[in-house]
Amino acid sequence: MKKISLLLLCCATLSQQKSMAGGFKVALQGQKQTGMASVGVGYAQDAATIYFNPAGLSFVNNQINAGGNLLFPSTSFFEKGTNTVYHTASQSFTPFSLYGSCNVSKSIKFGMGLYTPFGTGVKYPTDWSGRYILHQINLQTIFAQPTLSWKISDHFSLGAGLIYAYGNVLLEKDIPVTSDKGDAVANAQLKGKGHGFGFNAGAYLKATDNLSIGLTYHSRVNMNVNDGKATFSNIPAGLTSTFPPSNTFSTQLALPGEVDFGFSYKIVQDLTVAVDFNHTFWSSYDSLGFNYAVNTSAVTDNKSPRLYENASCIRFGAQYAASKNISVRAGLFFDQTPVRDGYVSPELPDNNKTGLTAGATFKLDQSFVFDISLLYENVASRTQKNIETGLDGTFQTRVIAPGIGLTYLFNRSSKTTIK
Amino acid sequence: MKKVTYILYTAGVMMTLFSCKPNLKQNPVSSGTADFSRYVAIGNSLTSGYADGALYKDGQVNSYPNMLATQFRQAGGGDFNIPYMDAGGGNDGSGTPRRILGYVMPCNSTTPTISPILDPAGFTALNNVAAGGPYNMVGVPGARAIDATFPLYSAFNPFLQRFCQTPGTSTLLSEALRVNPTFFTLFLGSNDVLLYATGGAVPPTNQFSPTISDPAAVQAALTMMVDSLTKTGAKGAIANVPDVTSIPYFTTIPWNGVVLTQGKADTLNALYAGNSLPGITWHAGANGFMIVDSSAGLTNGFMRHATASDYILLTTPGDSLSCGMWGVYPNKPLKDQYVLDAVEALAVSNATQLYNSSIASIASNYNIAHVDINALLKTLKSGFIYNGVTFNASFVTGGAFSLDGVHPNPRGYSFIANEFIKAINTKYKSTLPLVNTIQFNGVIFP
Repeated sequence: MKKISLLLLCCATLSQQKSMAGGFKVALQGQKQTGMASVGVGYAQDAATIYFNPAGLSFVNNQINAGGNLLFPSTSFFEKGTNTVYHTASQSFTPFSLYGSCNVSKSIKFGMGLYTPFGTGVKYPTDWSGRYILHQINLQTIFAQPTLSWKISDHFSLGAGLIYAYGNVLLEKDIPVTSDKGDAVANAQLKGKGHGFGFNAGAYLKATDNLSIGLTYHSRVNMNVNDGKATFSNIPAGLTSTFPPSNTFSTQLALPGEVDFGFSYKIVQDLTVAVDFNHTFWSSYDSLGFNYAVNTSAVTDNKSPRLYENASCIRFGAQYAASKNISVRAGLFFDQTPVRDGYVSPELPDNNKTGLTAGATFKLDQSFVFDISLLYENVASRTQKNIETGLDGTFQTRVIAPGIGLTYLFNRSSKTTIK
Repeated sequence: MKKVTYILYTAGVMMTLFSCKPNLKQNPVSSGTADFSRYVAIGNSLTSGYADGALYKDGQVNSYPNMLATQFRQAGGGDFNIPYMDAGGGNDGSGTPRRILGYVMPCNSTTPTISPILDPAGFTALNNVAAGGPYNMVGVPGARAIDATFPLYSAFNPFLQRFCQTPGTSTLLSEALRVNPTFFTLFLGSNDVLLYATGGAVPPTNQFSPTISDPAAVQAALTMMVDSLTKTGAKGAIANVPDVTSIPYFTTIPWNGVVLTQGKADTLNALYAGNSLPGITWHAGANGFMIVDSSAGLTNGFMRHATASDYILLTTPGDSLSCGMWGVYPNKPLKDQYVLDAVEALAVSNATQLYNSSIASIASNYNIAHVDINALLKTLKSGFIYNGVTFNASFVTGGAFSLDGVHPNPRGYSFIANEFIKAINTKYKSTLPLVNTIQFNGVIFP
């Protein structure tokens, strides 16, 4: 195990220049999975499999599983040619997940999941050089997913879930008009709520006692935002007709679909390794547009190109049963960015990501299991000039996210759920 | 259990090895082979920070030499002494304050529109600050290259007179040399064409009337200056002259601003025919303004329609164009002083090219940095986007020019400062950081 830790460390160090579930995906859907670099498609450990592979539900005991993380992202920007480094304001976010399962019949299980798969939040300093592009963004989504899993044989199951997605978005930027009334900076704020539908489906094969294989498909979810509020503040009095003080907007944000393949293998009695491969169809996010209810010469319906590319991610996780009641785990992932050169923007200063994770599970008694996890992610620094805005410089982001979880097992006689 | 503790400990160490914060570092700033300890800026109004039609204190603060001096200070630069005006509305040299944006009632509307007006705060007297010299900023509104070494000029130019050592004897050059500069920037030559052009290229009435300066005289004056400045080992940068016809002063009022219906065109045609000017006709749609041009001949009443090669000046009274039938009626052609016609514009452009080739060869002969302001203005003319803000050479909305349509606003001046910095960094291997344009104001709205 010592060796493995060191090996993971080396790999992570060497691959710093590469960098995770790219884009604005947040890979924190289960504490045990997070501890293993979010591996879970071919390794159904607990009810979080409702997200990772709904078919896996047939192979886990009925339970309630809750978890949450504190996510601390930190981004810096160095503007090319200048000598200024801007640091984003310290913020924390709380992605969470909640899963539950029960039997419908001998071979069919029902599960319910509530989780936060997409989001981003960045707040730049008020004086930063990109303030006319973006000052602040906050995107949050919550997915609710009723799920059915059908155990076709002792080795094979199929599962599917219906997704209802709810989200809210906040965007703020400064407007390049200066008022003679002093220092108040003209500013635009877009705030809206949206929702959409989708599904996921999976197949799970427990080939042997030691080897499991899974395949999952997550559909795209189109989030429609209608009647969002567009507020313009501190506009010079002479320009209020150009920037109507209150306006509404609509927009659509395509949360991408993905296909995942994964397997897990028990090498020896106490040690299991698992690998997941994700391919996310980011090309659905080709532009970000806003349609305003009232258009003026300065407030026009616009569509700004994003042209994201499909991107892949590979995740390695290992879990070791250190004692009867304690398991420890670690993981490593490499996640390809969906953002092309020339399209990196302050809303998502993305690049390839490298992540290191660790976690542990403590079996408290026959019913309660306590999980902890820690995620560290390095978004490799990226230097380029945005084609649309001319913002030219280097972005770098690091993320740290500790998390805890608690599982309550309904079936006290279970001996196989805890790893 | 011991094993577990150890593994958790290892994980802890792994996490701390990677810091939680990004580690982007600032670059060290160096002066390279240049010495910025005593910097002098020599030039005309563009160097003085003149903007909005006047020299005023805020403009001086936001001048490109002051921006440069701020960056130089990070690489060994010293104090930068500016001959400040007293705070207030400023002065154009003849008691007129700067322009600000205010509300104006157009002649053809009942809704006020936003338009440049004279600062109601009034003008600021030209204070004499000679006692505070020598000054690092020798920016003299109105100065041509050929004036810069001419001792009597300091007796005539009120802007130089107010800060120079001995009016009538001092020159721009002698003032610059008082600083004993280790580094200089020289930006002269614009007024050698601009004063002629902004006045509509009217025929000279006396020896001080603006004309296009003889390119040979411009070359001689600039050469003499660079020669004197570099003699003591100073290094520096020389900037060339922008093509003045792309500034809003010449481009804001369209040449073909007379838009007619067929009925109105018929009425005008009848009017012109009735005035024995059948050679001049109007049509439905956009027509060129009627301008005075002696070469149009007697049969056309020495008038013709403006073409795309003619420039109508920003100083043309707007209400007279909108409601006074200026440039439309046969008795109201636009006078020479409001038009830079095609022939005059070509003369301006030819002279500019000659000045610029002299400036390029001076830069190479004396091995100093060459700053291509002409290229910068060309880039601005076609428009570009900088940190999410669109800039172009349009009046007010373009974001780079001040309300006189000739001089930049603070953001525009920061682009000039950055051209200097790029050229200086290239020439002297220095690593001066660029100025952040958006920290400066653009046009201020009421």
